[in-house]
Amino acid sequence: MSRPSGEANEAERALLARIAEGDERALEDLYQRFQPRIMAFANQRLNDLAAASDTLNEVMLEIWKSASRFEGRSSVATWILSITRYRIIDRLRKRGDRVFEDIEESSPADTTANAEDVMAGVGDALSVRTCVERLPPAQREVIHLAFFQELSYSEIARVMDCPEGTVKTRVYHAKRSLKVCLAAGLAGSPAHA
Amino acid sequence: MPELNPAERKAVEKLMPFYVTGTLDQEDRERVEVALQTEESLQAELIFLGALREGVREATEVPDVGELGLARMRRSVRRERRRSIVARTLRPALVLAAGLILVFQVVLLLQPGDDGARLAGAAGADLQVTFAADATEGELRELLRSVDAQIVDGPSAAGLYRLQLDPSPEDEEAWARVLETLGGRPDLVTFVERE
Repeated sequence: MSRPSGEANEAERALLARIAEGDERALEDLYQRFQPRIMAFANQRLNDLAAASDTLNEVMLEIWKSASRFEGRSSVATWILSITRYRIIDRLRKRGDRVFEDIEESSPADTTANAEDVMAGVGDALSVRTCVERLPPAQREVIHLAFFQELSYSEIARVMDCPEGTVKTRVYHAKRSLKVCLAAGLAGSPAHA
Repeated sequence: MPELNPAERKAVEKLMPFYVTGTLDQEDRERVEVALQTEESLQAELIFLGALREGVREATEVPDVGELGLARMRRSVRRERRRSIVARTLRPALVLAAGLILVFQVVLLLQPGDDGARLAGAAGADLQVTFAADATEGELRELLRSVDAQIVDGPSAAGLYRLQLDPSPEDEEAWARVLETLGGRPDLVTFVERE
């Protein structure tokens, strides 16, 4: 996902204003812009395509009903991803998953990770995916929001409803864990089989 | 060049993922750039983070529900529209109905008389009466027939009955005769009044 420019954000705000007036076409335009981002976010957390698809529909309907309440204090993307996150949490609760976990804000020392092995691992998409999936959910979420959704740390803090410092710390520990995982390689591991 | 102290290095390392994605504000960006010039080892970190960003983007599955998802959204929105139209249409009717009930109750409460104990029911009634507790049904039947009256409503909580006269008295003289007849039997009628 490329980070939307200021111009894009203005266009998205204009779409929201039209949606608030009941313009279905504007909702469809917004859907085209955000469907991949909402689906990717929902799917990485729910790991269930049908549930992610249901979440997408719920989020778009929520946007339709509450576009007039968008106050413009955040970017449109941040607002939409916040709605998406609430919907994801609802769905996780309904299926009995633990939503809030005790996050151990620590990580293995990455000094043991050989730099060459790390770089070899990070160049392999399957290794990256496997290592990201092994992160605790909250760390996986910040990695997704930072590197895929390309949100700033203050935007991630808004989406996750937590302090900015927490976001930076989670990304820091996630990165260290990823280094160790990537350096260890996945050959022979069940995930790579 | 002097090395960064550990606390500053850690703080910069925490900012670097966002430097790579270009989402830092100017102050944070400059802080990272100064650190990159000071500490060579951070260059390797920068290269790793750039590769990690690409790796995450490549590894993230983006399921495409495209047209199916769009069609589903259109259906949901139309359902929602219908629901809100029905709600908007019904709301004034419900408010009106609630208002009418309120007005009706107020009218009942404001009816003149003895503690609201009067009857406010049947149309066409001419008189309100109360009967003596020990009056028999036969005595009352005879008395009411003598003035061509029938009970059309009651009793109220206070024991009031409404009577209709058939035919209704045409003039004051006829009315006086009815009232005199009923009032002349205090053993049977304890209260009588024209509507």
